[in-house]
Formats: sequence, structure tokens, C-alpha cells
Amino acid sequence: MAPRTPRTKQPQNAAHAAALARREQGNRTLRTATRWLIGGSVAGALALTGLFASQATATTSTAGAASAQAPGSSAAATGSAGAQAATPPAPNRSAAASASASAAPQRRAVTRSRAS
Amino acid sequence: MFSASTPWVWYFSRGTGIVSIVLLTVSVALGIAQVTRLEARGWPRFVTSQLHKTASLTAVVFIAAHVVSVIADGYVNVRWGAAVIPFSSSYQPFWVGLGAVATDLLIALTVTSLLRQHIGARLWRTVHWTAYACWPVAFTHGLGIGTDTSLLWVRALSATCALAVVGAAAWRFTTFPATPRRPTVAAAGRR
Repeated sequence: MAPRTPRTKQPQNAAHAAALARREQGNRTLRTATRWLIGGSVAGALALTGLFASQATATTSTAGAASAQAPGSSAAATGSAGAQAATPPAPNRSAAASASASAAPQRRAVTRSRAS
Repeated sequence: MFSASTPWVWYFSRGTGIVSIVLLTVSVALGIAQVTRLEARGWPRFVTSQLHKTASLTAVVFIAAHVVSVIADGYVNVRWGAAVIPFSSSYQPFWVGLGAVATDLLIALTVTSLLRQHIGARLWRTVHWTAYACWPVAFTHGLGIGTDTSLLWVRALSATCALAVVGAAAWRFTTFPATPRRPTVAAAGRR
């Protein structure tokens, strides 16, 4: 069986040629928009993932440094702060701090269950 | 900068959740533009139609990634059943339940759209009207349980999405109160 070759439309008249040109332009627009839509979504999700990770890392580092440099802190407290900085940050640590009072108890309960 | 023990899956679930609501917004807006037969120079109607399909399917993929990553991470106690059975979650049952409702509606919309040729236009259109309910339910789910809703840029993004959908819907229902029906052959013959 002979391979099928793509059929190319030949314009019959000026109006037909204009319609084909519009369709071709639409196809180009569609390809570009699709590329941006899918590419933007994937890039956005990855960028947000990195952003949240960096925010959590920065929050943990800042909290750990503040605890370690606190005046009058004992060696045990410094050690525990260092250990805390080494543990993975709570996923919604920043949100838990700013969340409403009603939601906070459940968030903390989840954190405890994860730690255990 | 990042440690190996960073809970990437949790951050990924938050990222995909935000992207999903943006994609749903784009899908709804393009769907409304399609109904109103919007077109412009260099933007024929079939571009709107195809982009609406692409945005919807992309949203389905991202919502699936969001659901899978939330369950797989295990940080919140949400099981597989709770992702599709509304209000059955032990963790934040109402807000997770809204997400399950939105997921179910989206599944129905997707399946009926893929089977449109087989189920008929009437049933497809009836189910597709639930798209107007799917977006606010998903949006409310995000506002209610979203970890990052307190962030300013997330609020701005949410407000932009809400304005886009509300504005498009208002324009659609005021300018095009009902979908114009094509005249049947019999009606056309009586003229």
C-alpha cells in the first residue's frame, strides 16, 4: 500500500486564497498560544515549587540563626536549635504562623503527627 | 540552598494547586469566549475552541498532579477516596470536600466532552453547564484550605482570576442571554 501524501489545498480564487491564508495564520496563532499555555503552566508549577522551597529554607535558616544567637541561651538550647535547623522545614510553617486562630490547632496537630 | 530532605512533593502540590486554578480560569474564560463566538483579526474562532480544549485538558493534568502529590506526600491526612467522595476526608472535611466536588465535576465535564459524539449535544450541553459551578467550587476550595492564601501575590492572583471569570460570565449572560438555536429544517422550510 502506497504511503499517503498530505493533501495540499490549492486556492481556487482570491476569496479562497484569503480564507486559506487566514486559516494558516490562525494555525500559527494556535501553535504559539498552545506552546505558551502548556509551557507557562509547567514552568509556573516548577517555579512555584522552587519558590516555596526557598521560602521555607530561608525561614528555617533565619529562625535557627536567631535561636542560636539569642543572649543567655544555654548549650542545650543552642544544640536543639541547630538540630531543628537541620530537620526538614515544616511545609506550611510560614502559613501556620499567619493562619487564622481557628485553623492553627489543626495545622499544629498535623505537624505533631508528622513528627511522630 | 535546598537540602535533600526538603519536602518537594508538598511544595509541588501547592504549586500545582495555584496553577490549576489559573488554568481553570483560562478554560472558563475561553469557553465563554467560544459561546459568544468571539474572534479577532489573526484570532479565528477555531483558535478559541482548540485553546479551550487544551486549557481544560491541561487543567485536568495539573489537578491530577495536585491530588496525587497531596496524597503521596502524606503531610495532610487525605486518602484516595476523599479525593473523589465529597466530605469524606478526616482532615478539613468541608474544604477538602469542595475540592472533591470540583474534581468530580471536572471528571464529568471531561468525560462527556470526550464522548460528545456518542452522547449527543443535549446531554453534553446539560453537563457542560456545571462548568459554571466547577470554577467557584474549586476557587472556594483554594481560598479555604490553601496554605498560601495569606500571601499578597496569591491574593492578587485570586482576585484577578475571580474578576476574569465574573466579568466574562456577566458579559456572556447580559450580551448573550441564551445560546441561539439553529433553525431546524422544518422551521426553515415554513419561512
